[in-house]
Amino acid sequence: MRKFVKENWIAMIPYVMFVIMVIVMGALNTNTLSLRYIANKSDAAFSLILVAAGQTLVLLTGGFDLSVGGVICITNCLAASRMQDSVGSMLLWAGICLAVGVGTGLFNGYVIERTKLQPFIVTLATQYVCYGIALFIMKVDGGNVPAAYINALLHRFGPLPLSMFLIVLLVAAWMIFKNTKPGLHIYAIGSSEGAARLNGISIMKTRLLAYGLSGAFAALAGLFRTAQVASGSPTAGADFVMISISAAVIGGTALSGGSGGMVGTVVGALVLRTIGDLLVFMKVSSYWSSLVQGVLLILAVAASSYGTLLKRRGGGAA
Amino acid sequence: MKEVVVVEPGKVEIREVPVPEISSEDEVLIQMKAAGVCGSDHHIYHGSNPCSTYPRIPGHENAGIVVKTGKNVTNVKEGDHVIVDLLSSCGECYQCRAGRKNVCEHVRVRGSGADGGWREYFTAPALSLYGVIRASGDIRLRGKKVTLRSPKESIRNGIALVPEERGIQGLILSESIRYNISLPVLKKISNPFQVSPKKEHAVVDQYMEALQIKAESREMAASNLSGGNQQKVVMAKILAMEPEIFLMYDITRGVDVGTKKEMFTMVRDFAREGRPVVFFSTDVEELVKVCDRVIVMYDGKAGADLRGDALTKENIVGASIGNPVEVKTYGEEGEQE
Repeated sequence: MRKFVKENWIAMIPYVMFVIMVIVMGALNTNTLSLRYIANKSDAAFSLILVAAGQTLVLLTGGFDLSVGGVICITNCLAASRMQDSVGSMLLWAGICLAVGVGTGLFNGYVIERTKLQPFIVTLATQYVCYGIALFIMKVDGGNVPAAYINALLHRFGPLPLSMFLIVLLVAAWMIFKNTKPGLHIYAIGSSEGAARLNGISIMKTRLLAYGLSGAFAALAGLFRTAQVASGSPTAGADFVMISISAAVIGGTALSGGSGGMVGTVVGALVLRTIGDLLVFMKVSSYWSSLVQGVLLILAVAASSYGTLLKRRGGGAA
Repeated sequence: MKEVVVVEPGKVEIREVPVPEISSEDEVLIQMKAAGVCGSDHHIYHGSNPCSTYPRIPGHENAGIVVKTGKNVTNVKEGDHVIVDLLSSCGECYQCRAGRKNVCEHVRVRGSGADGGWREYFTAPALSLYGVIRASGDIRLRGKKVTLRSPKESIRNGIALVPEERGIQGLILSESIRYNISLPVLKKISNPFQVSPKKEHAVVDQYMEALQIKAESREMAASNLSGGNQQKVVMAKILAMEPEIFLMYDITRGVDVGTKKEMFTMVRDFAREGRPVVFFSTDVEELVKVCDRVIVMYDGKAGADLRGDALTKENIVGASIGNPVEVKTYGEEGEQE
C-alpha cells in the first residue's frame, strides 16, 4: 500500500482533491450530503462528463478536439427544433444527432491523419463549420422539446437520477475498454506514434476510433443538454470546448498524450461543476469561481509535468 | 506540345509548339513531370530580375523522365527519372574544360538567362542531368511475390523488425516492460473482451526469462533499464510475435559486451532453427562473426556477395570501397589459398 502511494501519488491528486472538497462542503453545509443535492449535481455535471470523456480519448492520442462545441450546437438545435412528441421521432432524431457527432469525429480523424495537420487547427476549423451549420438549423435560441423526452432523460429511480447510473456505466465501460486492444492502441499512439506504427498498429484506425468516439460523446452531451434546458441554442456548445479539456487535465490526463484516463476526467468534471457551490458555502462570491478553476488547472498541469519529470529521472516520487 | 512564355514583363502566353528534337548526340530529350515556381519567377514576370532577358520560358527547378537519348549518351537511359541542373554552361571555356561548370564564363541560369522547364518537353546536355535513384525490384516470401505497404502488413507476413532507434522506434520508454512486450501481441493475449492479465503475464514472464532481462519486476519502466536490457526487451517483444523472418538493424549499438555475446548466440540459434535473419551492421567484425552470407553495397549496387571462406574482414572492407573480391569461391575447402 505504501509503495503504491509512493509510486502513484501524483495520479491520485484529483481523487484526493475531490474527497477533500466533498468533506469541506459537507462540513459547511450538511445539505450537500443529501441525495437530493447529489442527484442535482449529477444531472448538472453529466453533459460535461460526456464531452470530457470523449475529449479524454482524443487527448490520450496526443490530439485535441475543439469541434465538440460545434457538435453540441448542431445536436442541441436539431433535437430542439425537429423532435416530435412520439417515441419514433425521438429515437430517429437522437440517432441522426449521434450520426452527426460520429461523422464529424471521423472527418476530423481522417483529415488529421491524412494531411498530418495539427489536430488543433483541423478541429478548430470543423468547429466553425459546425457553428455555421447550427445557425442554419436555428437562427435564435428557442425550439420546443417534447416533455416525454425530458422526463425520460431526467428520470429518477426513487431519489437516484438516470445520469448517475449512466456515469457508473461509463466508468465501468471505460475500465473494460482501457484494457482492450483498441484501448491500449489509443494509449500507444499517444505515447510514441513511431513505435506504435512499428508495432503493427494502424494509426489511421486508432485515430478514427478516438475522434469518432469523441464526436459521439459530444452528440450525447448535446442530446442530454437539450433535455436539461428544454430548448435549443445555436451557441450552446461554445462553453464546453475549453472546460472539457480542463476537466480531463485536472483529472490527470496529459496534454502530450499517452497518460491519463476517463475516471480522473469524471472527477475533474465533477470538481469543475461543484467549485462554484463550494465557494458559495464558503461565503466567497461565486464570481471567484472562474479564477479558482484557472488556479486548479495550473496546479493540475504543474503536478502532471512534475510527475513526468520524476519518471524521466528514473526515480519514484519521494 | 505547350510551353509557357513570359513575352515581356507582365505578359504571359501559352503557346503551341512542336516537340523539340535533340540537336547533338550528347543531348537528351526530357518529358517534364514537375517544375518549381519560385521567387525569381515572380521577378521575371514583373521585370525586376536583372539577369533575365525576354521572351523567356521560366522554370529553374526541373524534374522529368528521359524519353530519347543521343548516341553518345551513357550516363542516363530512356525511362530514367532525372533532375536538370539549374545552370547551363558553355562547355568550351577554361573553367568548363577544367570541370568547373558552375563558374563557366558564359554560365546561364535555366529559366532566367536560358529557357527553363515550363514546357512539356525540352532538350538538355546529358551531362547536366542528375539521375534519381528509385528503389526497384520485388519482395518474395517463400517464392511468392508480396507487396508490403505498412509495418502492419509486414508483421502479418511473419516479418519482424528490430529497428534502428530502440528508444523511439523500438520501445515506448515511459511504459513498463510488460506493456512493451505485450503491445504487438494484444490479440493473442486477449479474452473476448479484455486483455487477460493471466495470459499477458505468462507471455511476458516467458520471454523475460528466455532473454534473461535483468529488472526488478515486469512493471519497471523501460526507461530505467540499461541499454543492453532495453534492447533485450525489444527482442523479447519481437520473439513474442513469433515471426518467421527477422530484420535486425544494428542491434548491438550501445549494448554491453556480455549482452552482445548473448545476442549473437541468439541470432545463430534462429539461423539454426531455419528462421532467416537479415542482419544489418556497421561493425565489420560482428558481420564476420555472426553472418553466413554478407552482401556489401557499393555505389547503389550489391557490390559483393560473400560467403564461406570469402567472408573475411578484408573482403568486406575492400568491397565497401569498390575493390573486387579476392576469393571468389566459397564453401569448397582447400581450394583457395
